[in-house]
Amino acid sequence: MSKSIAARLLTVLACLLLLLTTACGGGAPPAANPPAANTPQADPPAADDSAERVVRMTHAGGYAVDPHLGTDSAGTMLSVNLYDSLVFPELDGSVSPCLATEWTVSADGLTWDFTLREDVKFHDGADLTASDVVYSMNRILALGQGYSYLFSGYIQSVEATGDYGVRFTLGKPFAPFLRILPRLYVLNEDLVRANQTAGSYGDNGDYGLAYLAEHDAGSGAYFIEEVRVQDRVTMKRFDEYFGEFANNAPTSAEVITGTEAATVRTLMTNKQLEISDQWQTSEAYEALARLDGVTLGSFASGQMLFVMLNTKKAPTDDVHVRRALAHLIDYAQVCESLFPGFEPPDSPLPADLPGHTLTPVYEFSLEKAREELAQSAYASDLGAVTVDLAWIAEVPDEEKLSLLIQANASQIGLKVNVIKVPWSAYVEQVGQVDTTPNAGICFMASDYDEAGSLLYQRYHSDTAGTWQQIEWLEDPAIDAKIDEALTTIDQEARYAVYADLQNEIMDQVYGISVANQIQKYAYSDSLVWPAMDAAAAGKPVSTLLGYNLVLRTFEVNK
Amino acid sequence: MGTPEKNPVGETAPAGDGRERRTDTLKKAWYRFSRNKLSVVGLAVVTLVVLLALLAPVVSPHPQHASAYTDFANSCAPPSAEFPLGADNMGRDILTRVIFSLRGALYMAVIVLAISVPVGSFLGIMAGYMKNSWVDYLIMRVTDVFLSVPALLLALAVASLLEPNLTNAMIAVTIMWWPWYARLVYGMASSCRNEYYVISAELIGAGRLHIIFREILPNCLAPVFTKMALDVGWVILIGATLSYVGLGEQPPTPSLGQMVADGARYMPEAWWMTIFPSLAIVVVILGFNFLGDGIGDMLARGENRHD
Amino acid sequence: MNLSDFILKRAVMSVIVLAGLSVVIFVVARIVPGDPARLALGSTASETALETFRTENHLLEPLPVQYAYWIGGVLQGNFGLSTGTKRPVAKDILEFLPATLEMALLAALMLIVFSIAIGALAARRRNSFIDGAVRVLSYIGIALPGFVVATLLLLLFGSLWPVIPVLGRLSPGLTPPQAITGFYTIDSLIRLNLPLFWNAFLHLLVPAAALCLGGLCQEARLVRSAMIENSGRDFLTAMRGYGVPERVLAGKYLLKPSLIPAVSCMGMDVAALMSNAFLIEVIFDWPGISRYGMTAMLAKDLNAISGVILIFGAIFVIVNIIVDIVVAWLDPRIRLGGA
Repeated sequence: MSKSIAARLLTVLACLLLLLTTACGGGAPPAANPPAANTPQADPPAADDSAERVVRMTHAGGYAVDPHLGTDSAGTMLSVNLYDSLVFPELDGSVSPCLATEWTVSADGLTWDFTLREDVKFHDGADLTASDVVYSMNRILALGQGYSYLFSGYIQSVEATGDYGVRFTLGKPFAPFLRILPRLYVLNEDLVRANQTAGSYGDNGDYGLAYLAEHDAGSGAYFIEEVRVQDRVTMKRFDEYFGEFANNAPTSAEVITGTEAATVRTLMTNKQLEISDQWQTSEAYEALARLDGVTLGSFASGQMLFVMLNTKKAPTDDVHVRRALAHLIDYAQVCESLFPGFEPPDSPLPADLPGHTLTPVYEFSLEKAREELAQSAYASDLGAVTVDLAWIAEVPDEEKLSLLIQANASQIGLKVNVIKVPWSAYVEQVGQVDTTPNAGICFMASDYDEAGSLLYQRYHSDTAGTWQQIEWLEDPAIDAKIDEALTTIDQEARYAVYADLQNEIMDQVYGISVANQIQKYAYSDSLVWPAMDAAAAGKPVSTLLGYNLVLRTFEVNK
Repeated sequence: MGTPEKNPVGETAPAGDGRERRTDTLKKAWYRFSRNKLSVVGLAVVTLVVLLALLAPVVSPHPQHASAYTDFANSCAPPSAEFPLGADNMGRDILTRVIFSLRGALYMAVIVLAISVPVGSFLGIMAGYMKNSWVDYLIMRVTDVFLSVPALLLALAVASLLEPNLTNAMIAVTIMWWPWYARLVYGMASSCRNEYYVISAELIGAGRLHIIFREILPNCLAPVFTKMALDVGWVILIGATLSYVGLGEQPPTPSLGQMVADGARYMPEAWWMTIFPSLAIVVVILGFNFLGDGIGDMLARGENRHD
Repeated sequence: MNLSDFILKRAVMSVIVLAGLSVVIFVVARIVPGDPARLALGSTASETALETFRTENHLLEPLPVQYAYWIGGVLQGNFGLSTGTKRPVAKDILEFLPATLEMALLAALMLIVFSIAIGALAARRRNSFIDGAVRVLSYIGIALPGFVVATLLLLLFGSLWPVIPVLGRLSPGLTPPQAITGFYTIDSLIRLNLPLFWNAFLHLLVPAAALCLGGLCQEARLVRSAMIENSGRDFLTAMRGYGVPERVLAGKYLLKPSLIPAVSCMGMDVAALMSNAFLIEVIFDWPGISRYGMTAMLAKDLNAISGVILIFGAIFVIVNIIVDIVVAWLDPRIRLGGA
């Protein structure tokens, strides 16, 4: 090697080193306050300042701070508190005014006009106007991620009809249009534009993706004080919020990444955590409930535990194998020992979802499972077939269900292969028919309060190959029915189609509904949590992901 | 951990001694081996571990608990007569699962070494014999690349990118393991290369293959065997680490790392779920380390060992 | 060969090795089964969004072209975007690296001090109870995987005997010191915020102890055997004959040569430290580069994995050069780069 090349390479190495060392100096997370303001001790300081009321909560990692990217519970919880939408979802499935004060719809159901409040300020003090709504809608559609698919099939255009008027033009009628609007989180256009960098969206650069990964640009009741990546997001109360806060509403909140049982337990023991995540094992919840000042609460929130089934891959392409699997699940045991408090299913859809109907269900019976299996095309050579059953590594309780199925299946001579898959890998695997496992255990909620939403998410061809539908139905007849329902304005007629679909799905076993999920949380008893109180009183709670965690309605008492 | 090479290459004897060694009687070998009591303990532990693994279905109290089996009535049952080391969250006997998990651990060690030792040794001996040729540079630079990152790290990266299962874990570890042998044998071979017996063999017209496999190879074997014996423990350790993060054997087949990881969720109440698999890992690795040291003592001679 | 030539030669070799490593990690990251675009954007992403992502990241080009783009970026400090954090990987690395270095440096310090102290103590009291205990414990320490140590320490200090904090870098509610070095302990000292320093230091102790345990046991054993071996050497007998006090003898003439095998092994210990950090940071919730790397691996965040592995390769190579220099300083008989 010649000297000059060696010298050049050396320079490169030196530069790398330099980069490394300088970086160590400048790279650590910025501190918002001078450290002297703290009163650190070996024991953590409780928030003794009487004005300070903090709510801290753990969540699974991997969420996006950007409201237009994710559909997971942590990201949605942030969006709900940092941003506002045109309308706010009420518990009965209707919507109430939020950013929009009133709206009108044309007779053909295609043109929707909204009038905005004029007193809404973004966190930087700027006024929220119609152009911000237009910008946000266009951004959602252009990025094509997160909740974008709710809108992309229907929205033809969106325009400002004045400073405080917005018009949506739909390509086809969409009956539950108002119910998807909460998912349109409105960004501060000027702020995002000022911070956008080069990217592949033309004039919009990167559409502010880099900026919004660590900042908010919303008008919500809370604003982001600090994002420490993979660690926590700290929010503070926004005093100029146009809406109402509860008495003693939290002044700040933290979303802490990590659902490790040991971490959650230590934090709660030290009173450094007010709300646990919902992914602990039942044993862990019991242990948490024994801690001083911690109570256990739960509410049914429209989520359902599914064993989704790939209908395009042997042997689950045979309806008899699918029925056999449905008979193999001991629903009573699942709701007693595996997921205490869960409710057995009475339909393919969650019990409290508007449009839900009662259908016949499969009972746990090895005998019936054996009969079904005998009718299947694989009966002659059972030894040669295997059902691959995937469970999500982040939700350890799912392993119990997979083992239960595996154990029961082995009694009727059906081989079930249990696979533990990290969430991100699962999402990727189900992107193609061949790599999609025969069965996957998954929790799922409706994106908006209506049976049509979940039916669309689970069975429409648009969603085949997403984690929401590993069935790969791609059945034009079912697509047609779902489309028909969603464009039928008359509620009774719409619900009739929903009922029809639910019966067909149950009969064909397009996935097994295992139980109605009860979301469990361990939380500090100094907290008043409206959804918990409602559930305890037998009243409905929101079935829309994130809307049971509207922090401004919480109370923190000493 | 991730530090497979612990026997300094410098300890190996000059090449000429290779012939003498063949006259060593078994007795002398055993004497050298058993001088250190720990070696004998190691031999006993390893024998026990291998026997338990082979006879797992016969000796374990609840063989059916090693696969898909649920008994939620006994979920997290503490140690008792029925469950000597307690039961896990599915109500499965921990002792049974520990015994069965030895199978995967040993299987992995055997396969990884059975592939990486011949491959690494072959590449090392070629590079050493053809010292300063392009073959030498190519092989040894590639070796350096693989040794430039701690073995566990790259194994984790490779295993995480492949689908999580035992085979892929073995592939990942094998990819990281052969360079150690390439470097070890390279050092031996390149020094043998200039010994008189090699030169004289060349002078009388012996073929390359003859020289490499008949003259050089036998002189590299002692340190390779010693390292192999020690490495069984390290492979088991890396395998346990991979399965701890979910990249090894998949449930319901038990593996030690996975049992520790699962148990951690139930601490401190169900401590037996974590403690006993942890203990098993330590005992197995210790056993192989002691045995490896003993084999090192047996194959190397002359120098004074103080531990 | 003098020192600067040696360093130059090693540096050139290191660059070649790191270039090789970059090829290996790139190839591994690209030939894995699966669609990187789908992995990055999630399940609800539209086909258009996937297409945009593929074009942006040159995923449709042949592999060598992709490598050229990637390595070109890396040389300018651009490792691409992380799909997990949605930020540039370089930014993530710079943010998370100090936490790991802080823990690793304390672990290295503990390793050096305690291994010499324990090894020397055991050697001087040879065959005593202490010696026996040190020998047995060091064997066990070597055989303990990092994740087992960490899990057991977490069990001990996390729930059974909570005398010392074990999770994270600071107690919740504390604001980290303004970043100067990125090390919380040093930054808080510079700001003269002693309570904050103490809090950060306490949080460091258990993870660092877990991190160094394996290497510590190994080194203590090496120091012990080297000291015993050297104590019978002629030069010591001679010094003793001159009437040099035993204390001076041990400190000055016995210890230094006895450190050589231990220091030569230091490269291995660094490897062990770096590997173990991967699990220990996850278990102790330590927001460092290893936890970041582990998260990236489990989420198949390709750019982040490649970046982390390359950075660790670079650190490992640099540390090994330093170790070689220290060995040469301790042992004048070793010629740098000889053999």
